Amino acid sequence: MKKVLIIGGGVAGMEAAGQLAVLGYSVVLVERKDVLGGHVRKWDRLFPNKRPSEEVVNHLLQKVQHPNVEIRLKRTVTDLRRNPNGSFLAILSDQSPVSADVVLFATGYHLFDAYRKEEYGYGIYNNVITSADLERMFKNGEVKTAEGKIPQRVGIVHCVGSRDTKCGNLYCSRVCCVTGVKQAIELKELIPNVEVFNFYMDLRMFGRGFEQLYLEAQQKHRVRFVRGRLSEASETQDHGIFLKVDDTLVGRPMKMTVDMLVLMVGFEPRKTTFPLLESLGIEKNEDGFIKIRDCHFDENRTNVDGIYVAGTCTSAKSISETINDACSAALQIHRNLSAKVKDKRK
Amino acid sequence: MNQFGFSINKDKSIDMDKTSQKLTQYLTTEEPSFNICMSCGTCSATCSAGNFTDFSLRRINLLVLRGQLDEVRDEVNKCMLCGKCTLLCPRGVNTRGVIVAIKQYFDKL
Amino acid sequence: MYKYFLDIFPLFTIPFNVGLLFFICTMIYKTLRWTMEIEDSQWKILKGFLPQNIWASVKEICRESLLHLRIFKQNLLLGYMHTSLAFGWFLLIVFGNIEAKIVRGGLGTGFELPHYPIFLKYFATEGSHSLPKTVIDFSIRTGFFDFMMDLLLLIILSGCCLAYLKRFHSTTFGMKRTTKLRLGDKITMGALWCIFPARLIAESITSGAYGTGSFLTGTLGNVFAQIIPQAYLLKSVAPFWWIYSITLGIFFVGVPYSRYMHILSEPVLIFMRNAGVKPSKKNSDGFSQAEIFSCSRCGICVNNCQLARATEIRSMQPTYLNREIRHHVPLSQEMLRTCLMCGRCNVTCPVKIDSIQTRANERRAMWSKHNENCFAYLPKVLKESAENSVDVLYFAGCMTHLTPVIKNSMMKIMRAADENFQFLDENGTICCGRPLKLSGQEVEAEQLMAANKERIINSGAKLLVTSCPICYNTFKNEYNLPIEVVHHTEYIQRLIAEGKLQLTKTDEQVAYHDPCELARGTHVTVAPREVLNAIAVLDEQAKQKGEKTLCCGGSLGSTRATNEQRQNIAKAALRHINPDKHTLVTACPMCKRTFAQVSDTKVVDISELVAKNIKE
Repeated sequence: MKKVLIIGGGVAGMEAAGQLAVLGYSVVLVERKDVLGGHVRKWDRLFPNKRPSEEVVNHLLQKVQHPNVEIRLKRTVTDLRRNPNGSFLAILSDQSPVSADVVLFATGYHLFDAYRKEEYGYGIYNNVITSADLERMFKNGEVKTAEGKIPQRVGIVHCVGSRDTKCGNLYCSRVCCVTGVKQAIELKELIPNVEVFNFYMDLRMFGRGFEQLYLEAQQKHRVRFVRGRLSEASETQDHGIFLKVDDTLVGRPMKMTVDMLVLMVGFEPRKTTFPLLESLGIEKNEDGFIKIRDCHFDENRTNVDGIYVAGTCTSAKSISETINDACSAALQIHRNLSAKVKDKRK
Repeated sequence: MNQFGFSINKDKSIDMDKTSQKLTQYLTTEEPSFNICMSCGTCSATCSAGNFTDFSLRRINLLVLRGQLDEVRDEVNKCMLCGKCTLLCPRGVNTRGVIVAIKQYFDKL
Repeated sequence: MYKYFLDIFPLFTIPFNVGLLFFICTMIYKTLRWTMEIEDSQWKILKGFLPQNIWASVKEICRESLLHLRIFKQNLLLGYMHTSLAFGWFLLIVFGNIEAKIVRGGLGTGFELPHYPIFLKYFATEGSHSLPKTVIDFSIRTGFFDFMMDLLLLIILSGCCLAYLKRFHSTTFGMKRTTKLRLGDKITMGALWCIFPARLIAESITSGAYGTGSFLTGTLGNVFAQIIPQAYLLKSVAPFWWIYSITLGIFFVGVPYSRYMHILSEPVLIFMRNAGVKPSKKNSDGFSQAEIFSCSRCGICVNNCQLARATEIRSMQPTYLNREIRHHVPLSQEMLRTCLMCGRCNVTCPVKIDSIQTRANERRAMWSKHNENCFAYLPKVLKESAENSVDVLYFAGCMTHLTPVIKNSMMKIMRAADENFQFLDENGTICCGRPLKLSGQEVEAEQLMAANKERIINSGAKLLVTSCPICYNTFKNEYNLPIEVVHHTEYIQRLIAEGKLQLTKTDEQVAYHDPCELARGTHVTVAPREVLNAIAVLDEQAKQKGEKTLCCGGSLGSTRATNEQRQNIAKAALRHINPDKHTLVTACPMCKRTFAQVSDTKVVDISELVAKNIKE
């Protein structure tokens, strides 16, 4: 039985593991944390249909409950090298060796550290939080300011750490727009009289159901959308956050105090994987994400033979896109491995 | 002669067939980063001058592109050149360079 | 008559004598002209003749024009090259004159024409003059002077070899790039390169023909004597002295048209400086002209310029600026506006030319129109904000509003020290005016300065504390404020000394970056280090610290440097400043933000670290 090593037990890794197991491959799934699921576990409900994130995680967990899948938790790959016959030998952090015919990187992304956007005051003002922090609050069932009050006015800032050369990230993180809209709606559902302002540069509602979500936010919840990127935030005497933003459509600067400011943090490449990538000679894009062979026809292979990629380690993706990408990676692996078997038979 | 009754309203629209693109061309060679603005407004809301008056670099940038040079001429002088916008601009536009180049254009005119 | 003339001025000395005459006339003309064009006060120049000033000038001329000590401090090899050429040549002239005196029969034989010692070997061996035989015997017998002259010539030749090497392979000197040349430079440099080899050959052939000379010319002369028949050797003596004379002549005539003009103007500049002449705000000023002509285009500024090192911009450094101004070439926008005005060139310039001032003058000349009323929108808004008097006034500055952690930390520190303070620009900063000033728009800057000054004086405070070194430099040096101005590093140091602030020392290892405006602009380098030593362990790895500090790249001095270029400068600077990847501490909001964009490690302001370690 051909063996596949999958690095990363998030959505992409789990989906690919499940698919490959069914296709008859022996899969080793390595996850650095003590549970599978990755970032999704931090989320409360998912766009576009507000499905609880547990449903996705449980669905994927069922898929990897397969005799062909061997799960190694709390381990990372410390060394990965190619054998003379083209297969791979990985050494895990517990020194155990894993040999594999191919390796699938499903190492995912890193959330942008909002402290780097210093003028927004994350880590300095207590009532400036990130989208991930807000999800945690949703999970706990209550959204309160650092002082324990229910916020009456919340600002949601899009594109934090994305589309920003000053943070070194030129790309769009793709999911923050719709997450911002989703979170605005959830805030309204939780605190009916809260005022929510979304500060955006462009609202990129590209996916199925996204535009409907935008419409729902306006129609049902009267979420206010301001086209302008937040310039700076400062703290008021009573721990409110004072915002300076240009209302570009009106053409005048806008000043406003909110009780809570939510920063839609974007995706960043996972820098901890860089040494591993470099040791194998796997190319990265300028932005740090892993480079794929072709943007149309070969999205799951890297420049190194036998090294495959799936999910957000190549670019920002939503959960549905990640699952599709993982399926396609599994299929690509299957095709290449079975082709090799056929070659040998000839 | 007294004029009464009707008067013809001045056309408020921007007539791109008649406006001057000279400054746009000048800036394109002198400060090419001028072209990569995406009008997010970060510069205008953080602006030290914009704090006291209605000065907005975002608008100036658009006015130049639309050839509305008369509106730009005196407006650029309000800039203090403090550099907050340069530090924040997500596109990396050399905003102070844009201002100085526009001022130089009018100075040399 | 003609024969008598030839006796004194043999034909082959004519090129040399003409060149020398031209050289001396130029020197007198230029010195007079620069003196007349001093805008400060022409009579100030007389102060230069006061004994102490004369002494200072002579000392500095010896140290810098001859020994080139400042270049030695920069780079040993480069220093040796300059010293061997300048001081070696000087000694050669001195020894030549003494020897000539002896050959002529000792002191008291009257005035020597300048060409005589220069071509001494020719005259002494030719014996065309009726020289007392004993004296020639003496100088030949002792061989001391011959030895010294040969030794000096050897030293100069080694300098020449280094010069050739530098021109074609500058990396040997640890320099990235040497300066580009104009035609006048090329001709004069060519002449200079040939002078000493020509002298060596002329002297050697003479030595070979007459069996004289010391270890260098004598040995080489013997070699010539071995391979060339005596008759030919005797015939080739004169032509080679002709070559030597011509190269000298070309060099002297070329000096005023080339970078070697600095040989003439540097002593004048040193004299003016010691006389206390201050530069004016125009580059047509005599002092500024002396500075511009004193640039030897040694390339040290190019080598130290971060724009040249971290980006590909290598055409706007002070050396080129001075060259273009000197030769009346219209200055490009790149030349005018790209410079970061960080001031590293001024600090490292071996001639101490204030190129920042020169460039600022040119930037001022960029503007033909001024707006006397462009900030009319300011005072109306501000009049109401004058409040009751406080002791301390805190001015955050534009940039600090983008680093909220600095202003928060300062608030915390001032409250902990129980200070009676007011946050002057909490709701809106008026720029200090320096950015406009740096761009040459002085009239506009004055208006901002007036508005700020009014605000500061109205507050009635006794002390002004700023967090931004740019504001600090301007308030302190340009505003003439009736109250004391300190940067927050000095202020914190003071609070600690007064016992108002109790801090805990941690064992956190930190590296400190001197902001240019603070270290070079206002010479604050001790206070931040003292403060840091009170709260952390300071790791001083960086060689480029204090007044030699590197610019972070964010500088407001440039209105042309692109975002990418600035980031490249920051990245390159970080490698020097924080090689061990500690927490990087700085004292400028601009430096903090610029470095934070590209740093792998945390970048914090000194106030942030202090606020964190206040004893509760």
